[in-house]
Amino acid sequence: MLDIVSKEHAQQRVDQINAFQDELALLEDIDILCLSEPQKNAVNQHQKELIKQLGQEFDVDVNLREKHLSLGMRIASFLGALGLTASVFFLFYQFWGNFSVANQVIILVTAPIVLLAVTGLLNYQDKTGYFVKLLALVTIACFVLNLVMLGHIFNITPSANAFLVWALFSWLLAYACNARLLLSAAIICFAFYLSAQIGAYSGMYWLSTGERPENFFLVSIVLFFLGRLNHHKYWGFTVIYRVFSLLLFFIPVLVLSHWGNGSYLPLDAQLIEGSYQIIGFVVAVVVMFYGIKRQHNDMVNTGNIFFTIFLYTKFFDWWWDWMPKYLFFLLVALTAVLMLLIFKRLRIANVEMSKVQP
Amino acid sequence: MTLRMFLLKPKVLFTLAFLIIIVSNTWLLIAATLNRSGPPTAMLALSERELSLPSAYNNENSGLALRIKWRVANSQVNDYSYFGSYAPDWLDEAKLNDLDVDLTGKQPWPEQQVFLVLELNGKQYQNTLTAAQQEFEQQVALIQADTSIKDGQKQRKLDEQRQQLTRQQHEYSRLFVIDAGLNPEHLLELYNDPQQYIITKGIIRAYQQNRKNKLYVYGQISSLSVPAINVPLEHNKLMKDLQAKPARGWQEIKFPRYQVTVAYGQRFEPWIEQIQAAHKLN
Repeated sequence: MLDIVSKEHAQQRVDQINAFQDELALLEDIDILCLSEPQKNAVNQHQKELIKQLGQEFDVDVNLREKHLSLGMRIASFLGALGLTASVFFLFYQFWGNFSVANQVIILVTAPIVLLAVTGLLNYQDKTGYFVKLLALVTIACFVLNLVMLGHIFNITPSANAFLVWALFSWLLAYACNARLLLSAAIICFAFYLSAQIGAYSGMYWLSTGERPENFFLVSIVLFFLGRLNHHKYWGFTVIYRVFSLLLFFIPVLVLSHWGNGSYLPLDAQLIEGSYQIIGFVVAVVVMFYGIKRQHNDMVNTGNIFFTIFLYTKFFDWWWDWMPKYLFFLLVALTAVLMLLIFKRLRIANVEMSKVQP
Repeated sequence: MTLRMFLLKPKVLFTLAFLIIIVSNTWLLIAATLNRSGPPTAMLALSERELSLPSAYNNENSGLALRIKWRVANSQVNDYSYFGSYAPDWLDEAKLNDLDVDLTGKQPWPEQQVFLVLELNGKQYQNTLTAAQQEFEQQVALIQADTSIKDGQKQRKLDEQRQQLTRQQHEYSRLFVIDAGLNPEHLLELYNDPQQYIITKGIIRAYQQNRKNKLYVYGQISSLSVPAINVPLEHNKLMKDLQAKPARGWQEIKFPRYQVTVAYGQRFEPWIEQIQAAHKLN
């Protein structure tokens, strides 16, 4: 139990025990392995107590039926959060014009505080985590509404600083509630804030940050290093940081590979586009190989997706206008088959390597 | 326990989140208070010509904000009625350089926030009225001299011209953007009549166009940073009553139905002081 620090770790352990039981039964059936009665009893007793303990402490799913129900709860929780969030927004919009400014301010400020307090209290009691995460998302929505509406009421000039505040708030709740969705919200707000600030330093209006996709590269680097921190207790956080880091690199590269005029670089637009296309291909391949080596499936998949996108957009540029459509799509399919063969060879090579290494 | 472990304790995280709510709201309220402290940088009487009511009554939103309607004078365009993002004559390459707009980078050049000067019922507006009057007289002369059109059609065309002139005189905005700068204090010194000039933040963008085989750089005003002014509860009864009435037809001359006293504060952000129905005005 020493290594188990989160629900996801506990669930992995339970799944491991169930898999062991299934494999043991199979081996006993074909007379490969037969444990003595004392041994079997000791193992069963130990595993039964462990599952019970994990179930009490982390509310894990002990069988497939419970897993399906949990998935349903997760979906319901997400839909409930979205619905409640939208409801809060529209509720306020429906009635705010009937309140004086003082009452509007009181409602806007107290709503996120009250929800935060309830979320905090529930965090200690809700072992499933679904209700806490739902409430946390609604709390963030209330806080966003809080600042947006105060800005409207007092006609305050919009600023990118609001995104920094929302990012910090979402980050704190993400770590408090161990919620990847909230972490994603925090990263999105932070990405927008940092890129807007970089744009502002170069003289542009903060809302125009998307017109220079290179503004997002620094965000990508920051997220990459944040992902390398120890997130042992926070299941999936490292993956979220990595994936967003890659997205915030590849999407700007993809845009710039077709729109050289969006670059800060004082070079010919076509040269910029060509360079970014090469960068896109090379980095996608490097990411895939790095992901294979480190066993990060998220990196392999993301690299794979963007390599494919870069490749097919290149095909489109080269052939779409003049090639018959049936031939174009045939080439696309043949390329996919070629990539399948390459990945199959890589997989076999990976398996051979793991056999050689002790 | 390390600092990291301490900071990641749920109690600490929730406390920090609470502090973020308090600090951010405090900052916003202080900013709003600072804006309204001291003498306003502008205090003008704007009518429905300059502050428009939302066109469709939105059942889902009980709040109300009046949209600021402004114009620019552009001699390239023979239509002074247009509201929105036209390029004023004065926002040329020299002015863009004064505003530190980077014209060396690639196009499209990104937008920039600057301070804009809006003039109410001033020289720019009077020039527009004069031009509209001259245009009307020219068109009337042309229509009357044209023997190819029938009397009924002639009358219709004359009515259209008269209507257009009347719109300029009574419907279209008297607020014109006449200047821009980076230093609001300097602009306040130059345009020091708070009852006629507004200094506020706005967004501009530079463009390049090929005119008669020559590259011509000009600027365009995209929008004001605060494009609409919230109407507080104590002032919105008249507005709600007007919204509840059937919308006026597009052919109808929209004479202003209300007057709004608007103030701009130390942060160059607006608020509404008073709203009066037009029939109550002297």
